[in-house]
Amino acid sequence: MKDFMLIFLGASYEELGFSPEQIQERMGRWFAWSEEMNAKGIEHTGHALNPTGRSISGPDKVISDGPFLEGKEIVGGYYIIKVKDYDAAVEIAKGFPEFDLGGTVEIREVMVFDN
Amino acid sequence: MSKDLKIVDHLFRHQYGKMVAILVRLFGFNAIETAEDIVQESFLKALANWKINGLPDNPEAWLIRVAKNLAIDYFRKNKVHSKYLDQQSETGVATIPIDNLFLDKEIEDAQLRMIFACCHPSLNPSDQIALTLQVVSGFSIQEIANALLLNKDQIKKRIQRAKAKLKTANLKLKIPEGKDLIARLPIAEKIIYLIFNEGYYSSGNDQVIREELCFEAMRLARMLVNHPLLKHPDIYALLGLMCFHACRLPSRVNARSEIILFEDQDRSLWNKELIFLANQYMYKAVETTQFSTYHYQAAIAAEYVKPEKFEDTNWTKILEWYEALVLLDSSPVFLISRAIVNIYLNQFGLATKELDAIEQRLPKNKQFMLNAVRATLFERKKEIEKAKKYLLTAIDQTPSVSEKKLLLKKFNKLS
Repeated sequence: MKDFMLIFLGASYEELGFSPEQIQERMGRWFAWSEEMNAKGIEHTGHALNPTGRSISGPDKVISDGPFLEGKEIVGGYYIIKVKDYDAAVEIAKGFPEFDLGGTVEIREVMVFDN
Repeated sequence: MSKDLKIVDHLFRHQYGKMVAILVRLFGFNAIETAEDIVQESFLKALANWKINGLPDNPEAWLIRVAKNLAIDYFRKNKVHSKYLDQQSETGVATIPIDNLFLDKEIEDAQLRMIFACCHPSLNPSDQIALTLQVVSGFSIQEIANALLLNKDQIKKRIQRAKAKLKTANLKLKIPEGKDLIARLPIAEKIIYLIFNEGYYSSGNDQVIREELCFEAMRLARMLVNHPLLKHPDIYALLGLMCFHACRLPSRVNARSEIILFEDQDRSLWNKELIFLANQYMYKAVETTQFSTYHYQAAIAAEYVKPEKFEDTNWTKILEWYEALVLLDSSPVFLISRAIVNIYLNQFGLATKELDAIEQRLPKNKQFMLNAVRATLFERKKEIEKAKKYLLTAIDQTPSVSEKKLLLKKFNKLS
């Protein structure tokens, strides 16, 4: 088993104007995805990130306030999942509930160094 | 991940009304948009967080805590003074009085105040409905538009107009008492009744949103009677009426979303729990000497659902209730219904006279109702050709597509 990080990219919710019922429906989709992983016995843990933040860049260490780029590409959070290989990770990532909102999942294997 | 992944139905919608109500008490009605923004922001934080971490132990408390903190931030940033925040020091705003507002009892109270604000007599009924559905019930503009069969701009306009009026009305957000209550309660009942009817009788295709309107109306009515001062017999009667109707929701539409006539409905689908509940409410409703139109309408609805077969309907009893009802309210809808009852009692002459008498009072787009009933009359008299003639007229007159379909089906059955 290997660890893969699924990084969730998409528009910030502020821009999408969800109604309370739509928020509920969105949440339901995420929970369904999580249940699907549970049913397959796939461990998954992660964190959600606030849409705003700070960034520092360049030799002059320029500090700026987020939101960072265009609203479309904000990292909203990530999961780390334990699966056999990239194919299995891709299969799981297909369940990501925000493709219809223009979202993207980036799948990256977590590097392991065996001494 | 062992976190709970089941959200209570309509958690956000219901929470919206609660949280906006509390924040409006804090900021005053004039800042209702600020209140709504804060609630929306809390919801988005919840979505971003819970979607990955699962539900917190007490989602409602979580949301309220976030909203409270956002409200305090807002005060700080904008240096707003509120009667709940008389001291503002270097160390931050005094938060204890705010906390009091977020107690369960206060939340219910704030919501009732909001309902009564939406019933303000300076607003017209269609604006009252739209405003209530938005700020108390947490429906979006789009959802209200779908439910009321209007477009988004019309709904937006109604809500803006209502809010603007209330802002200039020097509104006191309180639960009315005494004489004020007696004046305001019927408006609250009427709004709830209209919301229910919009869901129950409208010809929109979106079955889901229509049923949600019905249950929302019932929820609002229950909210009222939960308050010790608002346990009024009329509201219990209204609750009974809504339950007697709502019990039939599962049988009213077939798999192809076509309307099924009352006499053809599968009675085994009727919701027994709601019938039981309706009867419970009626026991409380009749603890008065003065019956309202809701009492009589509930009595009629009860009579309809009582027998096991349509053929066993007690039309004589129903007619008695209608006679009492039209003494209080002689709206054309009730008069037409009474005429239908007379048709089932084979009082054809009387029914014809009654229908003719209503004709003048009905607007053009409702005339089809009369002709559809006349068709039923001749069908019962076994004068099929005449029945068909009136059906064709009705089909021609009705502006509603689903109504047209239904009448056409009836016509084909006669042919």
